[in-house]
Amino acid sequence: MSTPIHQATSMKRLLPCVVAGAALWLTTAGHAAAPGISDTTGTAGTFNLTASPASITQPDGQAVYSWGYGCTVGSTPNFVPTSITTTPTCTTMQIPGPTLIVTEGQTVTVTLTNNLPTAAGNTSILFPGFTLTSTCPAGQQGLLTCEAPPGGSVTYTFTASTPGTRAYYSGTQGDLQVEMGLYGAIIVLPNTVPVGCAAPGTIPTGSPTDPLSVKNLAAEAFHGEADFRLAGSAYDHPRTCYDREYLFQFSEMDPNIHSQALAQVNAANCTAGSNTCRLEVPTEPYHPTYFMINGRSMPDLMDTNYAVQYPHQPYNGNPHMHPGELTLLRIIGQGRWQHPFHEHGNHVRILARDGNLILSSPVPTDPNLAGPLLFTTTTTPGQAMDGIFYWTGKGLNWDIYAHNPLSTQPATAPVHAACNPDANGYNTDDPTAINYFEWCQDHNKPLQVAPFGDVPSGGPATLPDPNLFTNGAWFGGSPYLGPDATVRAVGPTGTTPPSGTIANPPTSEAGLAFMWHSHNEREITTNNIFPGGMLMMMLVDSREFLIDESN
Amino acid sequence: LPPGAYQYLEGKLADYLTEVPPFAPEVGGTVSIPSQVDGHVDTRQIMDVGIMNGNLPAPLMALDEDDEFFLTLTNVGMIMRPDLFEQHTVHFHGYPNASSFYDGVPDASVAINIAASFTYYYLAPDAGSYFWHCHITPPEHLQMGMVGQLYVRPRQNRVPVGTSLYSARGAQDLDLRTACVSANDILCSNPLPAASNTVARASTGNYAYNDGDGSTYYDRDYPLQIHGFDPNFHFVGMTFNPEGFADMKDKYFLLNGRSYPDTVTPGPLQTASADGANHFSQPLPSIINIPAGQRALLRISNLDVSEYQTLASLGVPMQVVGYNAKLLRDQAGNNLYYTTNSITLGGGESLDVILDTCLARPTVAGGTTPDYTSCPPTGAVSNTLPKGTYYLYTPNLDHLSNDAENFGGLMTEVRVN
Repeated sequence: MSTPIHQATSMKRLLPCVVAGAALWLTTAGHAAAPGISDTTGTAGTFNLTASPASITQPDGQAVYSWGYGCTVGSTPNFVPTSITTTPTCTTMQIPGPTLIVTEGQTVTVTLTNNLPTAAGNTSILFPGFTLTSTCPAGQQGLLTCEAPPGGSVTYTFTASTPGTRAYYSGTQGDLQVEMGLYGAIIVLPNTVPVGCAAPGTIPTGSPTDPLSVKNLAAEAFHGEADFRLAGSAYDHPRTCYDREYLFQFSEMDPNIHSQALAQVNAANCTAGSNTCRLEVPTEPYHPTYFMINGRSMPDLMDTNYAVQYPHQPYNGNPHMHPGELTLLRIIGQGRWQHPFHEHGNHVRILARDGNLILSSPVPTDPNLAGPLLFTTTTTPGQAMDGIFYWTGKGLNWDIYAHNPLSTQPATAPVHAACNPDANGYNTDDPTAINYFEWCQDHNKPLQVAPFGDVPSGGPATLPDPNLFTNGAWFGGSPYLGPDATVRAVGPTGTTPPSGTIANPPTSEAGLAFMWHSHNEREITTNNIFPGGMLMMMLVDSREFLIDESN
Repeated sequence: LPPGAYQYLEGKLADYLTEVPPFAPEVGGTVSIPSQVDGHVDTRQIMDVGIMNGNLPAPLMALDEDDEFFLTLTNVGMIMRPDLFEQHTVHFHGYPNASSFYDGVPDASVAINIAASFTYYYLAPDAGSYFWHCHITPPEHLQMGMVGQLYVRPRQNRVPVGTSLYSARGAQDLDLRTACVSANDILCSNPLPAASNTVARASTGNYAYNDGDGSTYYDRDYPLQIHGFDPNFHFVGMTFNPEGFADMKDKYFLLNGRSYPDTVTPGPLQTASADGANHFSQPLPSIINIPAGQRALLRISNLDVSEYQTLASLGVPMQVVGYNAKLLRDQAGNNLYYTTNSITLGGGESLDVILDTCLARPTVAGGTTPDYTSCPPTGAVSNTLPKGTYYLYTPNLDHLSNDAENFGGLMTEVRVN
């Protein structure tokens, strides 16, 4: 072939290799949670932040000059949740900025120091949804808010009046400064624990009469999982209890804007009397080529929180959950475009928009939620939403759990592979059961026409010879959930020749993987390379697999 | 409960538990779509040029709740690019509580090589307007046209004529497989209506969801799939050149695979294929015919891979009753329908819109709920929308074009007759 192969095409043809490479990286990958800081000073709700420049990295090898918020040098951030035991970091610049985690009713004080290049001029932070009580020093009032001049600082004070997830971002020349990376999230936790929810750190005993969310936490505790939640609920409302949570911030990046900004910063003359100490970076026409969640593109996105290779991109996107766990998604649109974020596997119940709980009536005690159910949660610039997702496998008409009396139980658990339906049809009476939360109406309904390992015959489908198909890196090795069912059905290698997948091994995890991604599909690319961009794999893991979000 | 209300449900469930096809005949029946489809989507075909079945949209799939659904996909390769060894899959977009094995994501399951076939197995999920597409290299395979329509009709259509819809909906809560109770399930989208009602299963028409109050009644339903083509991307791919993704820029804007005025050309369109013969390529016109006084359900989905798309209605109000294959109803049972003149969808979204050509409905016997099967005049004054041609079009005005040609693109006609 005489024509040189363009990067995009060559990467596409090499896709299996690319994915295999990602899988290798993922062997030590941790899971996600919603990490952040509760303060930088020892006083809850008081933060010293700095805006400064650095380069962030993208999976195509590019380093992109950016601006971000970080923790001021010398500050002593307190990281939450404390169950994240990997050494967390808050450098002087990160994208997204530090997730500020405060409690309803708390006074929040944010002091921002402007360490951006002098030519970049002033900077600031907007906190939409809160009312500032701080006053602005003379000469620092900008168009939208109080600003910090180069080298100077500004302090914002407000009360975290209501719970929820919200965005914060630069209020100064936002077309450039937000594009450069000056954005982050603030999470306000409710100050009460609604009836039926369990506060973090309280290990419930798992009585059969407990609410489901509490029983889920008991199952986690039985299997030795730490609690990675920030709070017992998303809002002061009993239908907002949750068992896990993840924060996803969507943004895109046009590298030409960043390289022009760097060139102009380097060319600017900021000595006294010079009139070239300024930037005039065009932000239109806009041609983003990087599409990021939490400042990273796939596959970097699925690496650990605080991974050393991304010193300025500490947050990941690597959600995991067990069947039936109520998983809180905190989703924010940063940047300037909308992105249709498609959650494979089930719908999401939207709880709130920008921290405003959506109920059937304006009465705060109304028991009924009124937010929509979505399989595609469109992100909008500056807007945040909270939603609840779960997966149970209900209604498939075959037993995806595939447990039987031969199933290996955790050592301390009673042998228990029966399915005793609760009022909703799920096996929840015993949080220690290997098939906790199985959908009992399909229990023991085979999938296969022929016997499949020790899984009986008589089902509707004939499974293919795996050698005739291309097996994915996240294919657990069988149609079934978890290593017990997979190994009993197909042996220790699963159906994946020759020795099983690394990202989701048949003998240890064998979870069900679902792609969560932008459905404006060109955005699941990194600088024209597929796969990349706004794409991650969510895994539903069998109950006995320990989901460790400590890194 | 009226005796029929539970029997229909039991009988239906027994059907799939004992694997006895087919299913109870539809009551009323929808005339428009099945007749449109049956004439020219030949399910005996296999993919012969490059998009599913060589058709855009790919073959339409209409299921009834509780149907068992077997779908076999065969990958026959591509005549025009014999150098490519692309796999293909089917992603049933929006399937609740999906299994990853049959979800069609190649990374999480198996992908179908050339010369192989694979059979997907589903139980038709909750009623709603879904869609399907290939999930291999989605920015490429979707842009190239591997997209199709898929919807599930509710159990409520099978309620015996004259039986209370509210009671029939209540009967579904007596079986765990069909129950939907807000207090128990945060992902329940169609709880019992907030108030009881006297609406009975009509002798005509059908329902979009198990609403229990007849509010999603329609006389005809029309699937409308929005799509976009970037001719440069297609040309580059066809001519063995590398494809860029970031600068993808659609120049053709399609409803059911066609741009205006082809959207209002009756019957299937055909094009010459690589074998030199004409084959059906775009089976579905998008002409919305509504007899004056009746209601049409539009099942609108967007599978454009680069932009959000807006579709507006000129003259006939749009009532949005469902979103992302779920009834718009709060946990208390209040309908959250809204009336608008335009809807906007990102890639991978769908919604249900009712176009009602009756301006004022009478109420059902013995109740206060509107009777959507009737549109009598008030005295001598007709309550129906004037007969004539109305339009569905995009107010993204640069999308009302076919590449360099003005007056085309994302537009079709609503004919009230």
